Amino acid sequence: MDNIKTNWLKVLGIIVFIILVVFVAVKIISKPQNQNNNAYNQVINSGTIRACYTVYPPNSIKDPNTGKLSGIFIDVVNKAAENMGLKVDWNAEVGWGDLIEAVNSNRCDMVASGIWSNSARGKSADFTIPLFYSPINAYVRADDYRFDNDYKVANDKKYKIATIDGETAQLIASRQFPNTPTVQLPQLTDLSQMLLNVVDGKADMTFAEPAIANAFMKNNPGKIKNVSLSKPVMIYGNSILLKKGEVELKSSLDTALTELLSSGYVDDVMARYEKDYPSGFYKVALPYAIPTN
Amino acid sequence: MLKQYMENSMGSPTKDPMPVWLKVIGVIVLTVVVAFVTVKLVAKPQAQTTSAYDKILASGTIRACYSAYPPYFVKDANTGAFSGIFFDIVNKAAANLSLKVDWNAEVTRGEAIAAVNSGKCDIVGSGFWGNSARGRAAELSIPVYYNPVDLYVRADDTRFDGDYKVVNDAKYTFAIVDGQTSQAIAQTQFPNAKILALPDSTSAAELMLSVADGKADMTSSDTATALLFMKNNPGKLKDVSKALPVVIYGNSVLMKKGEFALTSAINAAITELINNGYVDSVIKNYETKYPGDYYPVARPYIIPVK
Repeated sequence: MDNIKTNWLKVLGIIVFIILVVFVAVKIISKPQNQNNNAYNQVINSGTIRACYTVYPPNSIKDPNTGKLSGIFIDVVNKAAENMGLKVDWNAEVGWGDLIEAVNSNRCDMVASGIWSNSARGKSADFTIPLFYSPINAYVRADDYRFDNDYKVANDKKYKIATIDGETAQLIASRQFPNTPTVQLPQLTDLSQMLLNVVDGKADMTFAEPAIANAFMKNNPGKIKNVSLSKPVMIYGNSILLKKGEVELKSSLDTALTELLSSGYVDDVMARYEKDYPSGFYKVALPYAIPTN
Repeated sequence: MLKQYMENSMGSPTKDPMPVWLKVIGVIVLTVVVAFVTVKLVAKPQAQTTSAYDKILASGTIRACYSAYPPYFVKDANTGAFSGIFFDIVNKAAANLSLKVDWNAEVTRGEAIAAVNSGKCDIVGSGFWGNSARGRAAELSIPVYYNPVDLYVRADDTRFDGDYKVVNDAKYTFAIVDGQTSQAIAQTQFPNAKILALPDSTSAAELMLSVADGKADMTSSDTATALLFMKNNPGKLKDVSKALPVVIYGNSVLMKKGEFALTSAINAAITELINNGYVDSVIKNYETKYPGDYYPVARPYIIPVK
């Protein structure tokens, strides 16, 4: 009789063991698909979007004394989140080379300080629609006339281009000026340092958007000039960067940004910051045609 | 008897010819097989049943909910027959996709997202403006066209003539319908104004009537709806944002959040109808009866100058 009981217990134990293993296996396999890998679900459940940022005036400005954030993207993203019934937790400053790693490692749900959507980034991350466009120009010393007629002659090993690791100037140099040696600065370097390298003669040219260059020229009058005024070297859309494949979060943000573009909110915010940061931004073209009759 | 049966069927511990290590391997193999089969059975329905797109392709039919909102979707009061800009365009888009549309349920605008998320229908095909709140919970197709949204006050009310933004004050009342765009506009652009909230089932005409009757000072509307009201109620309301619409919304098809395969198929079909002029011709057809502002989608290309 004891043997029979023992055998029944064994059978029962095996059944319980199998059920447990199956339950755990199902949990492990199904959970990541539905919840763990999806930033959108986490955002909706928590009511908060965790946003990383780079400091890049006037897109994102960090008060050196108080640490308070402001700027075109800070204001617009806060408003977009509010309209979606969400809050933004600006939880970490990141370097230009760390943008994609920040969203892939789940450090934040987005990098929302305005990122240019270049092909290298597009390979590994997703972008929202642009809030506005930035023309990127080529800057040289004010008394340097070698590039006046055609800035493309800089694509020669006898010249040097100043760049920052992971920043767009580096990408432009590698794509459009592959023959030119670069003077590379470490990431998190202030962008004005690239222009300073040109002024100091360490490099002959660098690339920057007007907001950065105009601020530099205001503080250093007569030192540099724009040699691509008639045709910018590149024009980039300023977007929010998201983890690759976060299509639900992207579509929600795109709708919210579209609404702010259509209501004139983005224009109002840009006008407010352009007083202190004359930038030459290109606005997003109207997606509709207003009938003339 | 029982003891003998158990020993025969389960084996006696003293006479069991099977080694322990073989039993252990047997249990492990059995566990793995059962786990594998169970996971397969559990995972398979998730991958298939959650996609509206797969169901549509399998059935050949798009189940479409609708909100009656002329001229976008018109339901004849006598016959129940459907017409409207979106009715025509969605039917044509479906036909070009080799699909049929089953306009299977009328929903209020406040019920639209729940309708697609619950599987009541695959799309809400009567035209929806893509605001942030809807974008948070649903997918929207590319716009078929755009509607400027204007602000309307009583015809003899001159307080907002210079700048309609003064309505963002607790001394003024803004009329809205729960779950509709008027609510989103009030919340996002006039958060300080007092709100007159009307139920989800309120018609566009009733919303405008609340201003004409003095229950509220202002409301928002697309021009087609407002012009229809003003035609039936001459001298009652006026537009105070004609020069600068309060917002311009794309008019889209609404789908369940995450239905990207369906969204991309609908987008391709709408793009085709925009590019071949079908959308323009449908709008022109309805514009005679429902004059209003319908902004066509801008061309995404530049025609070379020869």
